[in-house]
Order: sequence, then structure tokens, then C-alpha cells
Amino acid sequence: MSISASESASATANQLREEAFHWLVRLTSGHATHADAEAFRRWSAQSSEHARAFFLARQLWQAMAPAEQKLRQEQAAKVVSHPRRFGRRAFLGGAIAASVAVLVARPSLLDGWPMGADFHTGVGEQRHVDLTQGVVLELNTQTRISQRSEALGDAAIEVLSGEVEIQASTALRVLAGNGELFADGARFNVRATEGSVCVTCLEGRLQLKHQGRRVSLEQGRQLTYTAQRQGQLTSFDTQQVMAWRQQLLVFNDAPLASVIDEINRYRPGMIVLMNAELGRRKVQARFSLAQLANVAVLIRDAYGATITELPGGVVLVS
Amino acid sequence: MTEKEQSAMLKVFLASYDVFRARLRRRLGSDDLANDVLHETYLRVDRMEPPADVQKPGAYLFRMALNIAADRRAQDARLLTGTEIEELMQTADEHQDPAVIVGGQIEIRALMQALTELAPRRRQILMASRMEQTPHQEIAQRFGISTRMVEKELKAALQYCADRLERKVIQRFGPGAGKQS
Repeated sequence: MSISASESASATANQLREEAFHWLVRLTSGHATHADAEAFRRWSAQSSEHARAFFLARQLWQAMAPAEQKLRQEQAAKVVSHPRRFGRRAFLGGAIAASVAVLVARPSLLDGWPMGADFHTGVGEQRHVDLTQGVVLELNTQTRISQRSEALGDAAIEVLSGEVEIQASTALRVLAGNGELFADGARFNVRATEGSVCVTCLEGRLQLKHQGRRVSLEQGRQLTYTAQRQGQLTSFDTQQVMAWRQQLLVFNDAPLASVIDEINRYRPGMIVLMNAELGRRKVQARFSLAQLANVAVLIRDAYGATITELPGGVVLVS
Repeated sequence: MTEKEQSAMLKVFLASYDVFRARLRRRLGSDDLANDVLHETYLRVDRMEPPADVQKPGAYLFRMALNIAADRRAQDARLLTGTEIEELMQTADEHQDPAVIVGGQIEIRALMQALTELAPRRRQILMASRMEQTPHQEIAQRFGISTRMVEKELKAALQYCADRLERKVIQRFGPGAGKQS
């Protein structure tokens, strides 16, 4: 078998491109060493084709950022005409809530669609953000946060969806749903899911303004509110509420159905419960976030369930 | 220390040179490294003042060579700084024909399209590295995968986008258009 000259030339070009990508990824890995630098120089010096292959690879790498920026801008502009109010309007009910529900049910659609959020995480992703001097955020899975500062010296954010641990050593306003929190020297968790917001005060003290009322949350207190109502101040199990910060999920006697809902927040694809009775069984468990890809197998073994694995990480449990 | 002692140590070194080199090659697994280390050892022997009571000069010298090799390994293992990496990557630019740089512009629209076609997780990993400059180790933790997997995902993303961009050029101008001379 003979290969034509142009075929072998393009085979070499592909080989060089692959090698160039290898070097690009190695050098941008965050753990490139002097030994790597030496090896890269040797590789690149082999021929002008080598140097050119790397030049092109780097050109592509650099172009990725402006391309992604443009994509995000275009998506944000497309979604609603008033992105500032989108999260709140959806929370308060109305026609948009239905479409939000559809989007939330298919989490993969939201990846890469920040929809006006300044900070966001994808499925199973967690992220640390130093917002300003004195304000640190830890975002949990599928979380979208927007900057809402109105003036110099006013630090404010809106939790559009998801879960975030906030450390506010200085004054901070947090909008979530139709409530507004004031913190100054507090550490707290805000969890905004469809229809309700749960605020957990871990350290310090918070003020909540909601439906014309002011409520104080002391350290060790938790409050859940919906568009219309506020719950009572309750205590909480810190280990259970904040386990996500240690990349763990902790369930104390929770129904399997809600356990599966929670796992789905972190796990790409979706676990679908087909059996309501199974869903009512109580679960005592600790899962590490890293184990969630195969969690359906654990459920099968623990409860004698039947699982059917479909493409895209979808698992039916019955 | 007298001239006499110094040259005695050097004499031993030179006499043992080939033996040292063979042993170092075995230990270090590299001809180049063995030669470099031996050269460095020679320089030090030439400069140094051996202790007055060295019983086994051969063993002493070989131990010195091994220490130099260990220092070299530690040096090589040091991480590059951001600046060093930038400079390193830019050295390839110097040799590029300016005319070719202009001709080879990346089509941003085509790249945007390619990015939307990436699997969500792959795209997230790509953007974590490219936009946030998150190190691979951290990306690996974030997604619950190995660093090797992170590398594979990044390479796959780059390959995919490069393929798509090339195909776009061919579509527009016909086969052979995308090939560089």
C-alpha cells in the first residue's frame, strides 16, 4: 500500500498538531516544570514546522476566550429584555415560572448559559470567588450569582439560583427571591431553589427584609421563605447543611425521592425515580461528590431496586 | 590545602571517569544527564577543598556526583512561573512570517459554533482552564476526575475545534484550501 505525498504530508501535519496541543496543555496546566520547559524547547527546535504548529495551537487557545465571551453576551441578550429582574419575576410566579421549570428539569441546557449571571457553576461544579475586600463566596453546583452593587462602597449580590456560602466580613446586601438580606460580619448559607429560599446563619447575625417585615437571624438559626410566606426560625444540623463544602452529601432519614433530587443537582445526566413507593423509603447516607456518577448502583444494592442505565448519564430506578 | 592534594583528587576523578560515567548512566537512566553531572562534578572537584581525611576518594567523588544529580532533579522539578511560561510560549512567535500571521486569523464565528457543539462538561473544563486559569489539579477536584482526564478533555476540545475550523475553510474554498505550503 502506498500513501500519496499529500496524504503523508497531512498525516505528519496532524501528528505535529497533536503534539503541539500536548505541549500547550502541559505548559498551561499549572504544574509545568523547568524540565518541561527544556523538553518543550527541544521539541520546538526540531523544525520550523514544529514551531509553526505550536504557534497555531496557541492562536487557537487564545481565541477561545473572546469566542466564549461573545457567546455568553449573545445568550444573555437573547433570553429576556430585563435580565435584572428575571430571577425575581420567576420567583414570584407567573408565566415565566413554567419555562424556568422546564430549564431546571434539563440541567444540561443551563451549562454555558449564564443568563445574565456574573458568576456561575455548572453541574457538579463548585467555585470560590473573592467578590471584594471582605466578601468571599463559595458557590455550589448549578449556582448563578449576579453583581448588584449600585454605588462605590455598596457591596451587593443577587443569588439567582443555587446555593452559596457567603463570608461577609464587611457590609453586604444579598438579594434572593423577593427577600433582601443585610450582613456585616457574618457567615451564612443561602439556598435558592424553585419557589423558596433557605437562609442559614452560621456565624454572626443577619437581617432579612421580606414582605414588609424585618427578621433577625442569629447564629444557629435558619429560615425558609417563599414569595408569600416566611417559615419559622429553626435550628439546623450544621453537618448536614454544610456538608457540600467538604464535597459530601449527608442524609439523615431523608426520603429516597428527595435524596435523588439532591443528587441530581450535582450529577450530570439525571436519575429518574419510577417507583413512588421506593421513593418514600428513608435514607441514612453520606456520599462523596466524586462518587455520584455510580450512585445508582449503590441504591440498587441497598434497596433491591432495578436500574436501567441509558446514554448521557440517565438512570431509571424502579 | 596544598596544590598536591587538589591534583591528587582530580587525578582520581579523571582516572575513574569512564567507570563513573557508566555507573551514572545506569543510575540516572540518561547519557546526557550523566555527562552533564560529571562535567559539573569535575568543575567542583577542580574548585573544592577536599577534607583532609577522605579515606575512599572514589566513593567520595561518586557521592558528590549523585548529590549534584539530585540537586539537578530538584531544580528541574521546580515549577515555571507565569512569566516564564509566557516567554517560553512566545519564542515560537519570533520565527513566524508576518504575512502568514495575518493570513491565518481564526474565524471567531466558526469557533463560537464549534464551542457550542462541545459536550457541556468538556466545555466547562476548557473554560475553567482558559478563562479562569484554574490549574488542572483544581479542575480535577472540581469535577471529580483525574488530572489525566482533564488533560484528555482539553486536548479533545482543542482537536475538535481545530477540526471544525479546518472543515469550515475547506467548505468555503474547496479541498486543498486549508493546507499550508
